[in-house]
Amino acid sequence: MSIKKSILLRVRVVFIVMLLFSSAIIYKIIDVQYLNSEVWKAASERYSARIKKVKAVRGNIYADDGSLLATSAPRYKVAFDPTRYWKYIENVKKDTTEEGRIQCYKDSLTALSKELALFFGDKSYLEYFNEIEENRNKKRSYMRISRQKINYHEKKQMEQWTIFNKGRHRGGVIFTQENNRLVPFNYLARRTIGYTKERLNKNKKKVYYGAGLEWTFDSLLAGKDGQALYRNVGQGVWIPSNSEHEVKPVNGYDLHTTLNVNLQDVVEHSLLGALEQYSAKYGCAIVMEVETGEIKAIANLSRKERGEGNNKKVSYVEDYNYAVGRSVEPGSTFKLASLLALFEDTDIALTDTIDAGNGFYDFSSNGKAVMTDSKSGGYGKITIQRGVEVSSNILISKLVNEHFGANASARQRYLNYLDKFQVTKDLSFEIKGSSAPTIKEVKDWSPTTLPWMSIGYETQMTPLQILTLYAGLANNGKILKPTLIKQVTNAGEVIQEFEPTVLQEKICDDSTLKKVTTCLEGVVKNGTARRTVYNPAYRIAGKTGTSQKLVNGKYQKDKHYTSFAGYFPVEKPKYACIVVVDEPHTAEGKSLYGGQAAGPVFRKISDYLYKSDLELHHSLPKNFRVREGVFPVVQTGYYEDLGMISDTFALPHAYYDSPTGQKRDLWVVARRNDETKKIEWSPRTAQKGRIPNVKGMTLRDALYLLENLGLNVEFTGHGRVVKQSQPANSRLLSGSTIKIELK
Amino acid sequence: MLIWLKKNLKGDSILWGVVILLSLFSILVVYSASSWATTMHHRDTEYYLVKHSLLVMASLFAMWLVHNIDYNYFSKISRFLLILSVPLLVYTYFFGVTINGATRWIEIPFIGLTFQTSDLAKIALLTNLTSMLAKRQTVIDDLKITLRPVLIWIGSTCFLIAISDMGTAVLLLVTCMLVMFIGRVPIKQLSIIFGVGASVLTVAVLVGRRETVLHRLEIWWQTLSGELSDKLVDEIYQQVQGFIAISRGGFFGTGVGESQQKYVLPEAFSDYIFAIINEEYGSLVGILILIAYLTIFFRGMSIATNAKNSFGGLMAIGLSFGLVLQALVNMAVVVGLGPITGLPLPLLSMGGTSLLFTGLSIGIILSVSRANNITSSDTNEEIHNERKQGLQGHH
Repeated sequence: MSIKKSILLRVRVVFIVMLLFSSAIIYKIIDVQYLNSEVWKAASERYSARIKKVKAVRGNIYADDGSLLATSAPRYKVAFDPTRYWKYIENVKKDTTEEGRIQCYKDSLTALSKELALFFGDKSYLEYFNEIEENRNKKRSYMRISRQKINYHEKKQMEQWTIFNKGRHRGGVIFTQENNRLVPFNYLARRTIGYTKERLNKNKKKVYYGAGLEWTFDSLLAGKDGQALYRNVGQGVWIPSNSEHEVKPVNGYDLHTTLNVNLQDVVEHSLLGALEQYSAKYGCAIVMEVETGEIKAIANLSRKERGEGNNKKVSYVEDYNYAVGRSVEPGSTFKLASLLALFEDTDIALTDTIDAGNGFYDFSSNGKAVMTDSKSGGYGKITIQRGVEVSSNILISKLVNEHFGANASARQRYLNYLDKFQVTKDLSFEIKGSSAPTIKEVKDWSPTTLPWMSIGYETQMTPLQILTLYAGLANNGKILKPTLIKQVTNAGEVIQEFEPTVLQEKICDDSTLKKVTTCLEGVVKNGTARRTVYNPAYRIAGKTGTSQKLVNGKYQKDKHYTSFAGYFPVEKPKYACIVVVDEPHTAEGKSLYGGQAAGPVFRKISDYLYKSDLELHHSLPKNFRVREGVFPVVQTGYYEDLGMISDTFALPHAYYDSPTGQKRDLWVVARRNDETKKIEWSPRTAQKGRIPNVKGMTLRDALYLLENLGLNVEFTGHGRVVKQSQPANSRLLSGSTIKIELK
Repeated sequence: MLIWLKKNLKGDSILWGVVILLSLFSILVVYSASSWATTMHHRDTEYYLVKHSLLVMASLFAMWLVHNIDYNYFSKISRFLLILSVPLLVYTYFFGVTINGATRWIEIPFIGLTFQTSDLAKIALLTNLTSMLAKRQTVIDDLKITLRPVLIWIGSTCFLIAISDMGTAVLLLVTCMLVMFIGRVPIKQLSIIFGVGASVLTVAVLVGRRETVLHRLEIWWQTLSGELSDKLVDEIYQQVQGFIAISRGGFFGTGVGESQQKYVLPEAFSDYIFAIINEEYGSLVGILILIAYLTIFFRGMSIATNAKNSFGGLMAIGLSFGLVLQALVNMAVVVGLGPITGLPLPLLSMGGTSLLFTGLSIGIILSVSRANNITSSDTNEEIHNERKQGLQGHH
């Protein structure tokens, strides 16, 4: 045989071997796919593994004092497989009789049912028992125990219960974890805190939407989801395995807002009171710190009606952020801008008089553009200051039209002032969906645009936009960008810090500032807000606003958009606030004005701020003086303690008994009766759900009282309490912070 | 286009076609199979696609470059490379780069690329072996002249590879045996070489990472023998997931990009790519791929048959056998016919620089076929003479 032939023969032998090898491979494929398909289909379920998302923990949202406004916490669905435990009993008690097993099973199930009934409180234990037995008889392997979801500690607690302590396989309890977003203060600033949600769109794709801070800062808060390989270890239980595939989730950042929980509560309640009283359509209120532009509270409530006729139920819910989301014609609060422009552009004095006439002024000379004043018969000749105080439309519009209406360049000058006052500019506020103002350009103006614009019509802006101007005025003419966010942190480490942003260093010179302030304080002292806003204890400056609402192109006389914007205390302004009440009317259906509807809300808010802000607050005179040689200091405290001390020191004192007979009402104030030479006690008991008066108490007593009510206490100084930031008898908001000062 | 191809791609056109089709298919499969890896390393989705495509192109280019070279040239260079590979293998064992727990790579200075030294040794040994055998065809039974040098080279190279990469070493030994069988080395001497090779590999197992090798053999034995227990599934996790992939695929597959097992199989884009192909494209395509490799071998065979000298013939058969055997072994592992070897599927797996060596060996086979296609009229004297000396032999 030739070499070549021999080689070729060998090559063919090898090729045949290769073919056999290949056939074996193909056979194996067929084996896996067809011959032994059941084994691998079963294995596919039994031993399959999946890459599962590992959810990143969403960051928290905090209030200015560190209270949690929104946080993520796991919640658990509780379900039960009623078939499991019986099987377990059958297995472990093989040597007992059937009756013995049934007895054992029933005892355990009864015990579990009682625990369930006690915990959830929605069904009796028998109902639970029967429900479980019914499901077991129908061989159902899954039943929801309760709609209620439980938290981690409750889950731990449940895992101790009988049957449940046998776990998933033997006991049959199924806990399914869900990541829930919790808002500890429930309704507070709900729309501003916001939410994120997902839904399926037409193409069955997930679409995300949301509102407020949660939505705006979603990318910061959300973090980055990770993934891990989970292996099925049977019975639907998945365990993470094989770290090679693991991507650790990156947790979200925390957001520190400027909101103050206590103030927010007061603002919402004050607003709610007014809305309910005047059956208003909606309302909003914003409080801003003048020196920083920080928003301390922002409330929005809109009316919801359910049912018909007598069953009609009205409630107010926070479902739209009117404060920043909707631009409307602001009305007379806008006169501030016109006033500033006038004083800047001319040298008119507050005492100059203008003829406001008989309450009607025609800008068109054909009766089609008649400006009116609210006082019937008109104001006649009045000074500029008085005109502002009574909110004369004719006075302002006449003045503005005279000074800025002459020609296009004069009109543009007016607009330039508005630009400078920032009322025409987009604030690019930190909440998605914030509305920018709309203002007509000069070339689009009709002859009547200027006079109407000057009193807050023909232009739209949000309440926040107006407030920004008032706060700027209060801040000595320096306009700051309103802000809700102080800091972004990650596990306590500051990622980003937000500093006040100056939008306009100085909107007007000091003489203008002075004139305008005088006018605005006049509004509160002698003008449209005199009855509802004025408080002799401290100085408030502000302006009412009442505009007729434009419905289908017609201004409605009976539908008012009312507001009050202002700031205080005038000598050194600290807070600016705007309150809007939409369509307020009396029970008789009479429409109300800004001073009447929005004013009282402002006053409640400012009173609260004045009382609780230690910087604004004058310290109380010391009621309790030490009289040397007469009595030692006995002021305020718990009667049992004080009485015992007095007894020990042989101090004569009157007998005291709790007015309610309950020990917790034994808090007393001591008073020296000079005639009887005895100490007399009078009760110092707070109503339930109210802040107690702790003035005069020692720190120990004050702490005991306040912290037992669930308040966080911050204190300065030593001695006895002289000031408390949350006034006595104000609403108690558990979890809020109260500051006390001791001396 | 065709004319351009004909002009530039010389040599066996069927081989060219199969190789190019497999390369393109490889880009497609690697893209899908590596999708988890991209999310895992937070890379762009295209990262592996681009990287792999570039390497495939480079490999095809290397193939084209090599196939233009006269294959007789490789006889000389292969000896040099074989000698070079010895210190490289030693260096790798001590100072190599460790990837996935195995130390088989060294880093090329200044470029930052790593390459597997056994790839180089493999191709050098096969080429040189065929060269030695071709030269000694007349004295093929001579123990001293033929057997001794062959034995030394096979033994030492296989040993050096085996200490870090048993799978490759066994495969190389088998390939060498086969080349020698085809090269007419008598059965008696083959058994000597096999005996020596086997004992050398046994020593290597004892010296090297024996736990891995023995363990893999042991659990493979268990899989063959019976029932799946949970403990066993833990051990052969990868195989079970591979089976599940094949089972899921059926005959027509789950569809492109629809593989679920790619998230689960740790080596979805390299060692276990055949499982993913079966899952996504079904056993239909899986078997077609198998046929494609057999075609490569078949073409290697016919190229060898027509080769102008025994060196070219043996080289074509040896290299194509090495390539196809690796492919079949890889598939056999995936379907459970053998213990895990860690060998990639040549031409299809995402395999970094080893793609270049695959390109190199196919280039050499093509170079042999290119020489065959040159008709005798324009053949130069030398080749003609060599052919006479070679396959037709002296007798």
